[in-house]
Amino acid sequence: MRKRTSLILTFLLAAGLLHAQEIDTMAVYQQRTQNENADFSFTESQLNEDDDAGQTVSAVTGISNDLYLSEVGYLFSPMRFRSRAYQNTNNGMFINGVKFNDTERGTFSYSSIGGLNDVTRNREGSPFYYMNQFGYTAIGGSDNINVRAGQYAAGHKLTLSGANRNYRTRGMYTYSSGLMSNGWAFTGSVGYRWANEGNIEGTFYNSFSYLFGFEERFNDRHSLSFTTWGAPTERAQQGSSTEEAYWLANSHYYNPNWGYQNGEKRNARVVESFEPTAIVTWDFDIDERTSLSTSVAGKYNMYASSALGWSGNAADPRPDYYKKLPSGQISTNIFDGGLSDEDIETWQNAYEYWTASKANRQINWDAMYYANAQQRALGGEALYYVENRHNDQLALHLSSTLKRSMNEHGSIAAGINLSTTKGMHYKTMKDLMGASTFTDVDKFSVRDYGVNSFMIQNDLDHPNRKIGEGDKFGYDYNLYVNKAQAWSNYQINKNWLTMFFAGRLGGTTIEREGLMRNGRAAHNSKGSSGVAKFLEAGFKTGATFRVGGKHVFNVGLGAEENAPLAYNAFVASRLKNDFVNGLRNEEVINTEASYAYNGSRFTAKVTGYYTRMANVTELDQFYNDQEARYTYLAMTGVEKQYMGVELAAQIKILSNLKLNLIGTYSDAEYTNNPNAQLTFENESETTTDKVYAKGMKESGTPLSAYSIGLDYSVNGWFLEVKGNYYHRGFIDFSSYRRLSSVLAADETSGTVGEDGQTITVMLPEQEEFDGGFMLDLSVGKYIRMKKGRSLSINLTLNNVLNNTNMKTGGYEQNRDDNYDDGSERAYKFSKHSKYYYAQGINGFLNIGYRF
Amino acid sequence: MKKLSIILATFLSCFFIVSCMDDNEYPAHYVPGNPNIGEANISIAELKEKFIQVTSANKVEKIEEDLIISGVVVADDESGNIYKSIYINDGTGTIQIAINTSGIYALFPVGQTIVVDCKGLHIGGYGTMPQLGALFEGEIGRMSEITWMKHVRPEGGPVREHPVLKNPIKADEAWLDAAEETAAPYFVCFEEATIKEADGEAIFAPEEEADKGYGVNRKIQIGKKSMTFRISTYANFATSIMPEGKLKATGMLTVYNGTWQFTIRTLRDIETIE
Repeated sequence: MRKRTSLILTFLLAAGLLHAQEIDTMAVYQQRTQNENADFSFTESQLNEDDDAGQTVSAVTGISNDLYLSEVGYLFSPMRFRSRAYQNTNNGMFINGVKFNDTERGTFSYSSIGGLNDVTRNREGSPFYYMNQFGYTAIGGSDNINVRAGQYAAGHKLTLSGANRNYRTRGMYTYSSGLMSNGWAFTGSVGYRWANEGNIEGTFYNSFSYLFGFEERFNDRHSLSFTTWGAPTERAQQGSSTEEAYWLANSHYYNPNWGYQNGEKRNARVVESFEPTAIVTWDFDIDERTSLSTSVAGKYNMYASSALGWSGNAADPRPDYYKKLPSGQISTNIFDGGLSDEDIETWQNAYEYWTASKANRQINWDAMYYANAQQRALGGEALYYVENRHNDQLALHLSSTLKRSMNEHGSIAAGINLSTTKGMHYKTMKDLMGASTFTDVDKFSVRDYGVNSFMIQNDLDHPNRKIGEGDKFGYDYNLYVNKAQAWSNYQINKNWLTMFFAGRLGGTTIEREGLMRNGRAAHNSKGSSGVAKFLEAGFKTGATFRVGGKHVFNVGLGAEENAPLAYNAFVASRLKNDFVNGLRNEEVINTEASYAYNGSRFTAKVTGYYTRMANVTELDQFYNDQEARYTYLAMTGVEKQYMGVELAAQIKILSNLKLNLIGTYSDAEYTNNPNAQLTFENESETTTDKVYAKGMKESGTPLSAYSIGLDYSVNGWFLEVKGNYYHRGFIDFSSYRRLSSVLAADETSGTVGEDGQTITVMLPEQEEFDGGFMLDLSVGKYIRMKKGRSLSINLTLNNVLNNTNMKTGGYEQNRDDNYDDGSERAYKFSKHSKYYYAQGINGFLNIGYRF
Repeated sequence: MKKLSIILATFLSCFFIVSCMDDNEYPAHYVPGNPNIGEANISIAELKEKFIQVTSANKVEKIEEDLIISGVVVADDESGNIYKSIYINDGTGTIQIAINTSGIYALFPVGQTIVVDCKGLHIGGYGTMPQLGALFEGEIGRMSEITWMKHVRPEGGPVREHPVLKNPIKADEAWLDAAEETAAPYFVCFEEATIKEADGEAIFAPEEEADKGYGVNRKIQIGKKSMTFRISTYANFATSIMPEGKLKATGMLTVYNGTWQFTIRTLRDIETIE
């Protein structure tokens, strides 16, 4: 053993001395590896069941000069880590200086650039307190991707990849002319990502991508570039489920979204997306120190997400609906024990049914078709169908940025951004599953108001409208968002001090335009909601002190007032035009301080931060099992705080062997009990309430994560080993179960005082997930060939130890444990939350050939 | 350049080929239930008679014999007025089958002929009326959907104009006087009836008047005879206004511990007579 160790050590030492020149290429290798994995890391494979919000990780990936930020986004992405637990609305994504975050929901859609890794690699990342050349960055930092054709290196590149992730194979080809002597440059990239079945059973992936661009440099001062891209994608989704279902299926990757139809697997939740985008950029070098960059961009997003629908009194067809699970069929709480003989027999029958065959625990498409055929034989309509929920969007942007370096000690960048967005939201009938027609009424309202009431109509101007496949139904409305902003940042450098100031001022308008007159809101659903206007501002300042060349101290302080997101601004956007009560600017204050040590063999950085948000508006939309109806729960006046410590260190053991340490311990929680407005889709009224959210943690990300890794390079080979430990992940709490009115009805929850303040409220605890360890490996080889050709091969293995017990996220069911009259249910919803698990061992092989 | 166009063409054709894959074929031969169930060997009337001592005493018994019945679904849970059960009739009589699931009518709607293997099921009296189901706390209760699917086989598709559906018992005052409680339930049609509470404003089942079973008891008048007319607050017509005047009403006549009750399946069961 000792002999082998000393041999390895000797080898390492020798290798270290001989191949010192490979240090720089290691960093390049890492960046390349990360980039190749990016469209896995940032793909929205898991969607929230009801509101289709992508559960992506969030991080700024273009930052290369920060030990912590340059690594953390990719490193912890298998656990869907969000830097500082911020929502991904707090990360900005700019392209040629235009901010591409969706103005309605605030997030950037990574799938819009999926499969374009080779042409979206050139990006400038900027943390919140750094001077940058493209815009006012978000508090989570921002990236700016450069897609000007002239900046791509001339040549061809072919990339082939294999993976056992959400897709199996990927091919990408890119050609760039480079800037030719006639002043023109061309670039083109096409890619294809495909999986007949991804790592999750019943999912598929089918995505084409393209980018074409040209640029002309007219002279030394002017150039114009045009780039267009898109990624038409069709992909099937994974669903979360309860521990009981995972146990019965004997897998943490059980996917309730699919089932057999005629013996073929079919997934009910399919996303079709295509976001063709074009951007024209004019670069004007006014003088040696001054330049102006102006971009006009447009995109048309076509996004549809399918889901099963069922009408009348047809039963819920989802295979893991609680009444189909063994514990949902018995008359006693399974956790209490003491089951009767009949319960044991019922449980046993259900257990045997679930475990007897795979088809029994998946969607029964054949039965739904059969049911529709039965109705058809009787002259009836579809009982089961597949609907498509569309979120289309047309967006136009204009951004112009003036940059000037004042002298060697200072520089300024300033700009304006204008944007207008029309979001189009509606449902269409995707598949009537053998039936010929369907009547557009709200089935939940039928129960409340009767079949003959006008209240049940989704489109009151066309009552009892018969619809066929492809027809719009349910809801149809547009959201208009206009934004205008002026911003600037300025930096002065002294020998030991850098000062940074930035500010912005702008405005946002939000308007809903209803295209259907809804029966539950006959007077306030069609037409304009009126325009809500918000004035926004932000200011931040930072200072960097350098002491003795090795010590760098950094402090920053910033404050913002931001308009609420249009997505959160309406009490029930599918239903009516009413804005949330008390809608106003969200306030953010943030401060951070860091210390960095830059030694020759040892570098380290430690950062502490604190962020406080107030007047935040949030909206939960969900199918409410308790009330058996679709529910909107808007929270206003939400207060949250985020704080934590981040540490990164690197020790150069040898010139080609490095030890990397990265870790963060953070806290992110609600600090008050916000006001709530509750609207059911089958009711006209909106009621006010309060959510007991104080102390609840941000979910969907571990709040603590630590990593230790070794990087080694020799002879063009690169090797990385990383051990990552994650913990303090929390479940997404149900705001509904913490409503004052729901708690008050629940005897076990104690009493809520008349003033709404906590007296002895026994709030449901928020579940904390168990921590866990993951080992990741990456090995690669870079081969330089003649005539500037090169071949790079790399294999990344994540979760080598195949830890399949790590929850990445989950959510509580929106239902409490008691009936309305206070009596206890047999099925305890509080103990049957739904979860997602991190993938077990998975690999990604990438071969890139440049010629 | 030629190479480039070949690569491009390959990529593009892949895209178009795969994007045409979306056709979902119609399932051809699916039939729910248990195809191994044989033919009926006992009529519904005979089955009810066989266990009359059990059911009339509100007791339960597990059926150990190979007894198979067949019948047409005459009442289902389409409107929600009937909950978690269906009624089948074979011309000799009607029996209620209690199943612990909703939306039974999706697979077995009114007009569908089904064959039910009774062996292994329980039969018992619910308020003295016979019911097929499962044992629950010593009484007759609902069988699970899984059990149900093992014990049922549909025959053909649903027939809207099925003779059994077209020929309910024409029940009038005289018939009611003679009707035997022990033979309930009956599939009946009252040619002339009135709803007592109907005043042009009252709705069938307001939630505030509901009892613990989520139902509202109205009165229906047939000649001089008045009986309970029970509506569930979960029925899709619960909030509809009850029609005034003379009506023709079709539905299930059931008995609960000596009390007759009339239940309609959907609002279509009530026709106003001019």
